[in-house]
Amino acid sequence: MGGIAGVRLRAELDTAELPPAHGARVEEAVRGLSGRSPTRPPHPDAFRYEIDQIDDPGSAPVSVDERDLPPELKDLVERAAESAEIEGPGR
Amino acid sequence: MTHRCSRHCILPPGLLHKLAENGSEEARKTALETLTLDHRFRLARAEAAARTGGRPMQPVTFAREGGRAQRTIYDQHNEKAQAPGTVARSEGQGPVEDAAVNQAYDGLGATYDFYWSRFQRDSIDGQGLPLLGLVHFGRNYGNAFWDNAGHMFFGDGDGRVLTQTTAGTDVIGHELTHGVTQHEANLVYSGQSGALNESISDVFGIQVKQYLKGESVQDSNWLIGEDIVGPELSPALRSMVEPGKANKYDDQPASMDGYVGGGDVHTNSGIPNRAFYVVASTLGGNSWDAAGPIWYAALCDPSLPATATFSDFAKRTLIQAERAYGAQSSEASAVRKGWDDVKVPL
Repeated sequence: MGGIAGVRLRAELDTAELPPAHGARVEEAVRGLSGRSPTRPPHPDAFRYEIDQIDDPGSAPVSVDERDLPPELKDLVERAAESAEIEGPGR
Repeated sequence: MTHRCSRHCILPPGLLHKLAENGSEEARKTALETLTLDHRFRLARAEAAARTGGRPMQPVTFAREGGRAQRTIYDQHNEKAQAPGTVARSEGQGPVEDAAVNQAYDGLGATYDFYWSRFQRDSIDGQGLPLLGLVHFGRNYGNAFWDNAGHMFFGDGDGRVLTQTTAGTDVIGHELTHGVTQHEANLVYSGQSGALNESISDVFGIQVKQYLKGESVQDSNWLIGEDIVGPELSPALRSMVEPGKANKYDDQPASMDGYVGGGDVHTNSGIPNRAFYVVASTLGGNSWDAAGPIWYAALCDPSLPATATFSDFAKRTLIQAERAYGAQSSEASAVRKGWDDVKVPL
């Protein structure tokens, strides 16, 4: 969410659809974001990603500034964002 | 006979700039190195201010005559590197083939000219900070942003949500104004101060567009981002007249009745946005005649805290209006009307 448009976009990704080793790296990278505090204040109109692990209901969603996305997640998140749908009332 | 050592001379940035453009190879190299070092001082100051919030320390002044932008546009070649890529157009260079480069160059110039002509503000920091635009950032990147470190990044858009982001003069004015805010009140980017930060960028972004197009308050449609939206967000990102009505996903409130606790800074910014519109349209003429200067003075008011609420800012707009025009003036009355309309207490 965020950006100059200020809209919330949503996309789902199933790591089971990735090659096993790649999927494992992605899951580990997401777990590594848990509990991390932001390293710096967000710059205006930055994108912020909220990653929710649907298959692990006990885990809390993680929030990360686009600049702080780990390399394992960068390409994946950005590709997912390209096909994401806008969340909202859609009047 | 006195010996004059060139190392002890202070060269103003304007002269350095001319050397960089027209000097010998050695002179160009030296001038560019000096300008880069100059730029690093400003960035370090800005970066420190951004980390802590609150007003930056008093800046060191440089010997410089204002009134001329120092623009450099870089091509990021659809990569997401944060450092500038290839120089695509420098200050004073004519238009190039790449339309995005030319749009960024023109938009940065229009924003500089607006701040200089209306407020005698020499660039973002008031001291001639070079304006660096980085176009073609990322692949199908639907965003534009100011990085708090002296750079404005432009994506080409994804064609659905946003299109080419260099096409919006108001967008460029919006982003550069984040830099102005950073160097003034340095409003913390969350809660009401964050929504104010966003609103101030819309307020001055729309003025830059209106000023460039010669639009009065009546001529303008007061839409933000209409030149960069894709079909999903058509016709615009935000409306300063009717917050919440710019597109089918627009969730901005138009008054404190609809304030969203914990809401995104782009959501609640609709409230002070409309306040500005009401003040400007009540006064008539051009937004930059009185409403703009009042808002600018409030932003630059040293007593405005980094964690300002809407009410903190509103009070200062009234103080500035009364100071400049008188307590019984039509300007002060318009300011009261604007904030009353959106139900922000003065």
